[in-house]
Amino acid sequence: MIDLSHLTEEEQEAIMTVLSRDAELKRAEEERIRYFFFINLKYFTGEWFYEAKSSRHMDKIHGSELILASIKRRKSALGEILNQQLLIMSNKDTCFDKTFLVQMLNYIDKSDQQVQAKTKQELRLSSQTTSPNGEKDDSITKVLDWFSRSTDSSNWLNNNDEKITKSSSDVHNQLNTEATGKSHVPIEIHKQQDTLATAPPPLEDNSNENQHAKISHLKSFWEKSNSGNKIFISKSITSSDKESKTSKDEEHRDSQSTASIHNDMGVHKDVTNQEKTDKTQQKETHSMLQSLTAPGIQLEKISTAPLFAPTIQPNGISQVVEHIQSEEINKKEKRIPESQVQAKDNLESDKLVHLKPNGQISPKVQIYGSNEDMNRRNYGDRSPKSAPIKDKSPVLNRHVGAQDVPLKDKERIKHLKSFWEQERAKTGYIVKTRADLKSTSAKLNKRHMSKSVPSFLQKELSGSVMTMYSGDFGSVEVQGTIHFSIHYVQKLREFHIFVAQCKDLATVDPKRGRSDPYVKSYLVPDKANLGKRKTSVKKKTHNPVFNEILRYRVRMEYLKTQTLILSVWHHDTFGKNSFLGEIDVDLSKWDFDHTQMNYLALKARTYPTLTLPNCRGEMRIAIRYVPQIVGPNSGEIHIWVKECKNLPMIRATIDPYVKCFVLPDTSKKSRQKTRVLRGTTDPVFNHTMVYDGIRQADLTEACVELTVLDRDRLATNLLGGLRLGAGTGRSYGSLVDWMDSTAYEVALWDRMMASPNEWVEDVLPLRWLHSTKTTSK
Amino acid sequence: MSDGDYDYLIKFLALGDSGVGKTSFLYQYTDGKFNSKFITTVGIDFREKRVVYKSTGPDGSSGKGQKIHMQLWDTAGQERFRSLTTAFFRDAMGFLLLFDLTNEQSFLNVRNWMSQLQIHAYCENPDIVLCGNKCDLSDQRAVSEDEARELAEKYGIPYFETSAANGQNVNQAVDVLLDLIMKRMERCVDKSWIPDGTVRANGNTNADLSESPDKSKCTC
Repeated sequence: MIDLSHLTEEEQEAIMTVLSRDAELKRAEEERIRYFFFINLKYFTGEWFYEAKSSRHMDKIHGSELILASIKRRKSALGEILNQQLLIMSNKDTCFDKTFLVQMLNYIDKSDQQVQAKTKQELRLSSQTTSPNGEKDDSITKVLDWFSRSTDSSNWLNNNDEKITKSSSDVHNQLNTEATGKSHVPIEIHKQQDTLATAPPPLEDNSNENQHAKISHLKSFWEKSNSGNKIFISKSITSSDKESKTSKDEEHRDSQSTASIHNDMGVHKDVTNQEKTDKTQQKETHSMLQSLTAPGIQLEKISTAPLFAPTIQPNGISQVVEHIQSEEINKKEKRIPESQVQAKDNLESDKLVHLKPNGQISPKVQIYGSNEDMNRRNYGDRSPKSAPIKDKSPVLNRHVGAQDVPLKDKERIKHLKSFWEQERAKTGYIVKTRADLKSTSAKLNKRHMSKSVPSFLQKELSGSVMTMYSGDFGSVEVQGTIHFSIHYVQKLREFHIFVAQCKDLATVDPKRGRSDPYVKSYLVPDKANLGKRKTSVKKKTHNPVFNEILRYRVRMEYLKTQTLILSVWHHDTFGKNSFLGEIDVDLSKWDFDHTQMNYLALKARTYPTLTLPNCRGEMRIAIRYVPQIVGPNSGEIHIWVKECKNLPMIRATIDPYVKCFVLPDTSKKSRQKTRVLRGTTDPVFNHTMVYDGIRQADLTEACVELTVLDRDRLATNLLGGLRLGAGTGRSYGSLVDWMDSTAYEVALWDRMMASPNEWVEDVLPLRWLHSTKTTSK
Repeated sequence: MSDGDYDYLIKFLALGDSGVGKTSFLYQYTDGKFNSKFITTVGIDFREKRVVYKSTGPDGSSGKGQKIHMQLWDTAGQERFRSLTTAFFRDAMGFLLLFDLTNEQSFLNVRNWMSQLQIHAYCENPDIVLCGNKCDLSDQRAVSEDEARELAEKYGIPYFETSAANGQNVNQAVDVLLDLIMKRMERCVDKSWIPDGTVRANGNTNADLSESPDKSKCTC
């Protein structure tokens, strides 16, 4: 800081005028740059092209990749591919594996006994060595046995339409090829698999068992396995996020290199919303077909499902229906007659792809269940053009159409913009608050962002982490559990939190008996300002299944200093979201090799340290009571707000000021404020407020409520406050919640009353003031 | 004025002793006017101007015109504002260092200003143009052109004898500074990842530019 106290008031004012002109210019420049970037990014990254292309070709596959895949498919040997894939996937002994195994084994050519045997052997070995759960081991071997014994025609599975299975295996080859071609994908799959596995029912090693029994066994097997199996493929988004950050950098007073790319992730929002009915689990595929997409394509959300979800026909023919998320190009194929596909109540899909006899895949629409999401994704029979992905949500659309911006390009653009900013340190005077920029960028976003702009360009951290600091968590009794797993992807340097589901959540709205939960994640203390991530909202359920990954692009070293908080909230369209519970994970003690599912009971709000005493800072304040001087009603309270120290940094910089009311009077007349001091956690206000008309008798009924607020441009945030009063809980006979002075506050108040006309001073710790109505501007 | 319809925002800063003519110089540049009354600048001020910059390529070809929005900071020369004005040095991309040709002390202080710049500017060797102002007052001249040029050469910076009163060399001085800045910007932007065919600030494409010797130490 520079000492400019030698300047006169007039001079300071004149300088302030100049500074505000400069601020205007800066603002205009920021907007210009942001606009420039967004527009030009389109050209540099080819976005303009991919946007146009996506309106016609819903898939993201480049023509060359399609050809490559097609060629490879023909070339590769079935067994080998399966082998590879199975090995990878069986590393985690999950029900998914079994599901998969069954499929795979089914597809193995009966005559190819050798391959089959070898595969099973390897599977057995791998499952034995890696599975922690003996029971699961047994089950997998049982499955293997069961199938190996029943590879003859009596096997109901083999009663399949041979062509179909073959073609599905072809498809799988295709997928596998691509998957293995992109090495990180299969690894991710296996790592991120849900280990919530229920053992399948013991399968009788009895080939004489009648078909019906087998079917029913398998039926239950599938159902159980479907209760928790998840596969997902995640691709990294290497793009760093918003441009807005770079411009914000300029404004941070203490930012260092303003051209540094922030670490946090791009969009976290889910691409697909897997609504599920109460009965069903999700069976969407995710598909390895994703891996067929162009490398640049980023798909943020990972939909989850077992890869193949067989349906069991009453006539014993099982149909493997593959769900994929993106369309394949081929549309000409005839579809498998619907009669062969049974809509099970535990099948849900936005698109079903039926396997064609000739191995091609065609999109086919099946609507299961009645949720609107699926209806929205009704693509119609043949034309991908009518795919309503665009209509679904801008987020989804962006993801679908988005292309990754190679990091290089983004760097370059950043350089172009921030060539000069790189050299600069903080300016010598008042800078805009980040809120200014936020609003600017929000404006700009609205102005220039179309649906088709890639998400990474539009990304602004959704919302704030203010809820972390608010003390108001609603009055819901916390219950239930959350199922999640944690995975750090070294290669992508990303921290993934897979939120599977929650169970038995509290009901927020007792009238309507519903909760619309979502899960929010954040890190504390979040020095890197990565912000929070949120899952989608699952409407009207106490057992929401999310199957979504929340990610942060961070280094492990930083992660280890953080605590992860997963909190569950009820989304209220109109009001404030209600807190449903949370868990926290101390990442410094977390074993990152443990990537299995965790089931933790939700806890009530563990107040962040801000509720500990002296963590909201303190205020030095002096007060005095001047008894009536003229007439009976002329007593005065003088409040001298001297300074505050150690105010909580709820933003990168805070602009504190103090507001005062003498309760119960909450009218404007009662409100007095200090000026706003910019960018300091230790503001020196030296501001005296006088309230007159206070009689002696009022002193025991009234309360001086002081709130230290942070003047953010769009919002005013409570940092902490004091209530100086008698602390009796009553005012003028009524119970009130603001007569809640702490011992310190009461002590000061008592001293004031005891020594009229004399200043009494103290340094009081600031606290959170519940239900203060006085935090409006 | 700032309507966002420009290609670059360039910030310059005028510095020098009190009374050398910084405010008048900038006023002459932006408005083409001169006011002989002396009103000392309170701390800091700035003016803006919109120009079109056309670079000349290595082969002498003229590049595409770039719209430049210039923010010209005008600092107070008075000692009491020193701490304030120094804080603004870091924000400027280029500097106009003025002294008064009729005031020898102002010339002698050029050294001090230079060292101030070296400390507080955005880098150790920013682009500076030295201006000996009030060259119209020839009979009151106290600093010879030679010694001024010598000093400028020592620092490796261009020198102009200017007059805010009659406008002599005012535009030229600022244009030269602008040219220096734009060229520096060119050099500092990493060539390696600009795709071929991108039109650069001076209108040349990647292919046009040959390896330009990096004379000034670019700290970016």
